Amino acid sequence: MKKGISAVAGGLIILAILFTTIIPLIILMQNSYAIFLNESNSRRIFDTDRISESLAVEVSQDTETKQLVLILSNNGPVYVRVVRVWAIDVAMQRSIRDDGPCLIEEPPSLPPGANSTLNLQHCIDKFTGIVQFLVVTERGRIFSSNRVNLTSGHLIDIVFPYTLTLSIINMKRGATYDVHVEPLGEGSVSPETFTYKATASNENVTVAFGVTAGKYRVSLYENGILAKIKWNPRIVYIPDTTAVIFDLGRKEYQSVPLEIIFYTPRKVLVRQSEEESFDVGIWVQLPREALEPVEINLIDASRINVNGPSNIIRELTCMTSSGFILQPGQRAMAAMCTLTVHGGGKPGEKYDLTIIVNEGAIKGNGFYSSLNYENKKTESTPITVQIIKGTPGPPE
Amino acid sequence: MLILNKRIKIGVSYIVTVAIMTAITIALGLLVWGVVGGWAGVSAIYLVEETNKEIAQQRSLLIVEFVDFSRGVVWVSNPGKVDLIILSCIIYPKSSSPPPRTYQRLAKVDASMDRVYPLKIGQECQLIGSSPYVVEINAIASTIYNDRNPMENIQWSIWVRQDV
Repeated sequence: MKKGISAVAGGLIILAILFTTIIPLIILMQNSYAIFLNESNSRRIFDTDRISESLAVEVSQDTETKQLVLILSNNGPVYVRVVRVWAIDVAMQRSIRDDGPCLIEEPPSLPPGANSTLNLQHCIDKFTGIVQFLVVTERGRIFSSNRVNLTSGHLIDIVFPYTLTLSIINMKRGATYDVHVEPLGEGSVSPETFTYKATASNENVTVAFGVTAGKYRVSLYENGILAKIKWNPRIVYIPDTTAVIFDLGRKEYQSVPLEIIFYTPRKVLVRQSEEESFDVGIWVQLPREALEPVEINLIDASRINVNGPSNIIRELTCMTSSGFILQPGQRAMAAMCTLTVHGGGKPGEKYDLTIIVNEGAIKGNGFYSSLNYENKKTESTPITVQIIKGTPGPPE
Repeated sequence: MLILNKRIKIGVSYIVTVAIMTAITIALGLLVWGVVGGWAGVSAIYLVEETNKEIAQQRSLLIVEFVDFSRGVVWVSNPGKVDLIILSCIIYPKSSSPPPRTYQRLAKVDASMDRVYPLKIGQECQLIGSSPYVVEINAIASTIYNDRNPMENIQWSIWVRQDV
């Protein structure tokens, strides 16, 4: 029995070495390997995700604000978070901003298939030149945009191969004209609309549209309503058609003389040695040939007179009214005069009086053209005054 | 017979022999245990250190976002999981072989994509030759960086090489 003591002791020590040293070392090695393997897997997954990132970056312009925007489209299968955008001056190969990248306050996170837009106007300020944007993701990928040409921070429209010239002739003063050029198919046009407010009568304007080959509808609107003229809207084919003319058919405004119309009694009976008053209406008419309304703004009462024997005429007083508008063919009262006559002759005698409206007594301005309108010649009308026997006196 | 019996009993007793043998066995056993324990301890420390370095290397990642020649700045960022120490940065002609360089602590780049770090050309970054260029950067995880052992830093550093 005692022979095996040292063998037992040796065996115990071997076991002790095994359990206290070798096995823990093996466990430690396995654990380290597992940790390393785990980290390697983690890195491999990260690298796989990183390589799987796919982001389409396109520079565009907001149609309303005309500010530069970046359209981001996540085409890949993994979530993409944008952390930074660089605005690069391509010609100089430098960052447009002095302080480095253009940082985004709220960086977008894009799930697979999602789109997002970033307003980058503040990144380029009023830069002129070729710019390219670099988008940096959280996983460290860099995606570049297309290169675009900017002028004062705004996109320069594409140079179109064809030009469509459009003329609007004989516009109406004060009216707003809108031209719409719509592609009917695959053509493109810039600008698509043109707006102009006519500041003078019969004004003409010509504008050029950049177009590509294709079919287009060209429409002219007057004050928001489709102008009622021939061939509007018009269908044109580019490059077969290069010019479109919309003639609004208005003639040139010309001043016409105002016409004077008298409303007076032909004959007035006045008792001998007595006075009689009667009304003389003076009206003004705008001839039908006039091309525009006229605002009557001056009636000179001093240029309205009466001629006749001094023993008959006592007084002519006129009340004028102005500031009204006459349409072509319309008439209106310009002055209401009261003529007082005296029965200064013998009964049965007749006297002729003449009411005269001198040249330029009534003036106005064309509503659209502001041309001067007035009565060009002196007009008159006769009135016969007959003396009749005076009123018998009261019985004595 | 008595004389014979006396002769037989002369020498070390059996118990003493067993005791001596046992003592020797235990002494040798403890010696072996100590040696093995020491080896195992050293191995464990080495193993842990190596694993730490390998893991730190796995976690290291550096990207060059943009090289602004006009302002003389190389912009780098760290999308990895561990802070990095930049050891060297050199820009040299793409067609030529990598030039010799010095390795020293140039800058620290935190593991966060919220920031981008500038490396000034002429200070942190050397510029050699003419374009087209390639930029080459060495960096090591700050957790395993040892400023007293440059060779080991180079051994465990990551290399970033990118066309400019």
